[in-house]
Amino acid sequence: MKAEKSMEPKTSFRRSSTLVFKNYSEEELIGWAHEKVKKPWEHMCEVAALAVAGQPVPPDKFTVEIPLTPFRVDYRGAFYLMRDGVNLLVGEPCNLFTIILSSDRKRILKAYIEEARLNNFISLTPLDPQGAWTKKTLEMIENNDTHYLTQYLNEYFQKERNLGVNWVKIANIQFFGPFRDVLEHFEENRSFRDLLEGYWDAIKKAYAEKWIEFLPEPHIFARIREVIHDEIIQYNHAHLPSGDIPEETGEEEYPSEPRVVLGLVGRDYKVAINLSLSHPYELVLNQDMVESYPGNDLKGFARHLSEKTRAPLSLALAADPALNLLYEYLSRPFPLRRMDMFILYRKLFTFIKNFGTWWNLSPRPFFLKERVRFWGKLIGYDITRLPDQDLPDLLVDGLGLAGLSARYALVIVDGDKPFAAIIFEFFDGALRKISTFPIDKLEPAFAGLTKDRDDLRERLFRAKQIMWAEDGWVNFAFAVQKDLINAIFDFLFKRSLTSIPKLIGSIGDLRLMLKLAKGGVAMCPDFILKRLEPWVKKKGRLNIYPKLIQAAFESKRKKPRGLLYVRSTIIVAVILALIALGLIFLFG
Amino acid sequence: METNQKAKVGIGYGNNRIECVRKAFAALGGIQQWVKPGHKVLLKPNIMAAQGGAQITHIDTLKGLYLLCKEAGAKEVWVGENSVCGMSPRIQMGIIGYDRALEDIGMKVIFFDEEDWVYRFRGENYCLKDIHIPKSLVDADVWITVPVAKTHEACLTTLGLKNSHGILPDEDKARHHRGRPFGNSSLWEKFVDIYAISKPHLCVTDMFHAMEGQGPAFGDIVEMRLVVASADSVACDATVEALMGFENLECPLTKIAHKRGLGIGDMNQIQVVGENLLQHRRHFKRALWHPDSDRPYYGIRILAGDVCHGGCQMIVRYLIDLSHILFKKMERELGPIYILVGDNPPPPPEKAFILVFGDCAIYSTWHYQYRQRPKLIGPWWKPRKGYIDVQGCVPVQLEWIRSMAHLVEGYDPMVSLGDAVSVVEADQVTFAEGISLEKNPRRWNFDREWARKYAREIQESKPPRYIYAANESIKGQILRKTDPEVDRILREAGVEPE
Repeated sequence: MKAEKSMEPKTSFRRSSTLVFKNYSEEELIGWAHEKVKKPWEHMCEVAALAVAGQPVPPDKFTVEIPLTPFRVDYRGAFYLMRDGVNLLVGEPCNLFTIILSSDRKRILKAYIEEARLNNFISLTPLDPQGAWTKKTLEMIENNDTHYLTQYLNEYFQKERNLGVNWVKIANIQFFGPFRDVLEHFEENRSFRDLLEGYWDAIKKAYAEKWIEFLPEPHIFARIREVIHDEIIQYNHAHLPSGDIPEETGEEEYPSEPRVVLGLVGRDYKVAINLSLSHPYELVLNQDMVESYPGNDLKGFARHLSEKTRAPLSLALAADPALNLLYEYLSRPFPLRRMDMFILYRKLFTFIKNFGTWWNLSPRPFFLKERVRFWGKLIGYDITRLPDQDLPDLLVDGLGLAGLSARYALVIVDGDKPFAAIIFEFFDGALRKISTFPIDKLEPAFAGLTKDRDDLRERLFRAKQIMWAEDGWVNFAFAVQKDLINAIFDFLFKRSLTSIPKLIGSIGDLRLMLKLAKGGVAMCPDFILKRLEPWVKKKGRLNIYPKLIQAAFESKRKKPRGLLYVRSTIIVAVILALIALGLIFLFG
Repeated sequence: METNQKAKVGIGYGNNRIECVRKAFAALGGIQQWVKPGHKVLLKPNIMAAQGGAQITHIDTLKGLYLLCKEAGAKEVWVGENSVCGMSPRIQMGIIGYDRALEDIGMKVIFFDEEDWVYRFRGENYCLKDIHIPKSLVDADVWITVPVAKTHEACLTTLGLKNSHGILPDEDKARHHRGRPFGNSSLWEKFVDIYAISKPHLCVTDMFHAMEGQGPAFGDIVEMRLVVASADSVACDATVEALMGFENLECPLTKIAHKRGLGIGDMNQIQVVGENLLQHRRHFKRALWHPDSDRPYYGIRILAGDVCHGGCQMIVRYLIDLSHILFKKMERELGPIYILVGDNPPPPPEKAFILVFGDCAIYSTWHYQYRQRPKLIGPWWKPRKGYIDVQGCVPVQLEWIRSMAHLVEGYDPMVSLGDAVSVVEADQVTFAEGISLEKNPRRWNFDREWARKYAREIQESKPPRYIYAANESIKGQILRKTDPEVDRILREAGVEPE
């Protein structure tokens, strides 16, 4: 029953609440950080030390809390993720030196050395904040001359303790304040949306106030800094839907079972990660459950995870290519440029193309099932024939044809009210900025909207003009009725694509979607669509759509000039011959 | 114009184009110097394709100018654009939504190809002595050319002077649109001739996002955040070229215009106000005109003869740049398509798909084997020849894509959908359709005697099979405008005008 419930689509949105960060004294924050950050971190180091040494971890210590988050992990699995993945996120494995500064940045309140082995931190050693190294360190921080700080501390501790320091983290004590607010707010209302929004605001504040600094800066933090600095995401709570959406408790909205599980299969390990926001916030799932599957094949592992967790979707990835793909994305500075996009798309499509060997999922959509693929392969269509080298050119240069710098707006409409408006800004073939637009300014444009597409189109034009006046020119705007989005989600979450009988059973939903699509979608300007309509009619949809599908697959034939015709000719000839034979058999 | 006088150019830098326009004119002392209360102002942007971004003048630049003109008391502000090689501005603007958006804020959008034309003659011009200009250009009290800063394979840059080409009807555009690169190109002289006949009152270059590399259509975007304005288009162009990293008087159009005294193109005689030029100067990648000298291209092989760079060369360049998008997969699965272009191109290999591009290639390869004994492609019950002719001098916009689509119909699904471009194309036929090469009037420069003779021939062969005869007398009638000057030439030729 629970599994059934978890399959229900999440169509309601929680009311957004803007969190106001409080001011705490140094003592308050030190006390809170000691309990909520240092203790879990020590626990994590303790378990990591056992795992690194290859010693058994006591059952009561399997699960550890991730500091500054409400999430927990089974560290036996997290150990492998750290070992193979942490260097992709933060750089090479190294010992970390942590300095906690007072709010005026003139005193060192706490200092620690965190020793790393196999990319896992295995010890947290407190240091005397008034040590011989302190004066020079504070001088460097005060003069904003931290370029050689890592080198200085490394030399000092090599000499003193025979321990290299390759990485330094400097945090102001106020850094913990916003995170404390976010976590306490989450404990009260259990809203993951508020949690994520709160994290985003807390990180933005920490960077804006320069409360945290890494020397050298890891990839993941460099990307976050770039996203904040270049304002790639301009996210405003006030622009998001709220008000008439019913409030729900966290217990009801978020199921106790994961909805999407990601399995990673490495050379010598398997790990399962819970990608859905669900109670009891376990990010890395129980390793005993994971290891109860004996094999290393992705197909079986995905099915195993699906059965054990009762998740509606479980995805199994080969760890090496998946982590490499992640590294490709994280190692490139934002904003991305055209050449970056070529490479990233190629890597992505190559990954997708390697279905079966690099990834698998359970349950599989019908078009990925073996029986369907067998017949598809016969006529030349299969996911393994995705033209991974050509599609990036088509996508990136094709986007350039529409405009080297262009802005697209998506307006979601609920009845006769705008529900959300998001603007995507592309520059040089890559997404440069995502921002929300205040919906209250669009309300006059959609007031009294009927279910007629022409009316929606006209309203969309008005909305586009408002956006132009307020926020700059929008090249193309799209409006979608919220009901239609809900219908699509309903269709997908009913697993209609995973079984042919269910797909047939969902024909009613499909018809509803098509009906909604007639009055529920509009584009502005739609001049080109109107011009294309006669062409499509002239060519015939049955002529165009197969061609488009065919273009998305690579032919294995080399230089098949005329073979298309030869093949169809042979098929027709065989059918004619069979008919002739049948006739002979019947009458002859 | 006195060349010892310093020309003033204003540069505006800002976070959006409207702000940049304001700053540029504030530096020049305000637009009120040119736009007076009650004036009718015409803005001529560069909308050469239905694209956004750096390819065309941005709508915010037009809006910025509109606001300034209105503040100066202008009665009406018009935006006028012309067809580009057969593609109507109504379609171009419709696709990107400029027309309705501009009309909604109070501007009037004019499509030059749907308006009347006015005949203009200037005997001192070098090659293009007479043209037709839109009537609205004459009606406007002030007309402002609003180009976008881009590199160009035939002229190094396409700015204010080159934007003047957009005021001509397609028939005039085809005249002298030929020449060989870097030597006696009548193309460059022609652009300056147009400028000499119809000088804009102001030139405002949108350089917020500029284009480098394979301009004017397939280059890379450069963020400059600038708008450059001046009453002297030549000085404005020279300043923009300096910002793009070109040497002083390096670009042909600026140099020619400067030498002919039509404006100031020497940076030493230009006063730049508003921003420090050196602070914003960048080195733009240049557009390369030669087909095989740039990045590798896919799916096509160029067999070039003697080809003029203002014509087929330029269009083939587009085809090469487009090959990245469409033809890469085709090359692997189908093999390359050979494109014959220019006079006397080398013969293509046997058993190849061939696109014969432009009139020169069609007429100079009649005796080639691919035509005499063509390879047959297609199904056995409906075979067709393995080559296709793209007629015209030069072929009209996107005709080449449509022809390519017909050639590979049944072989390459993606490219064969390319005939969808016909939906955005005007009903116009190629410029020189139906005329043999010997009679193709664009083979000759302007010759009054020959024009008279030809006008008589054309008049006698009713109805004319072609839309344009490169002759001002016929054109005047075809363009629905009876012009006294045209009538006079016809009478001189012994033909009574209708």
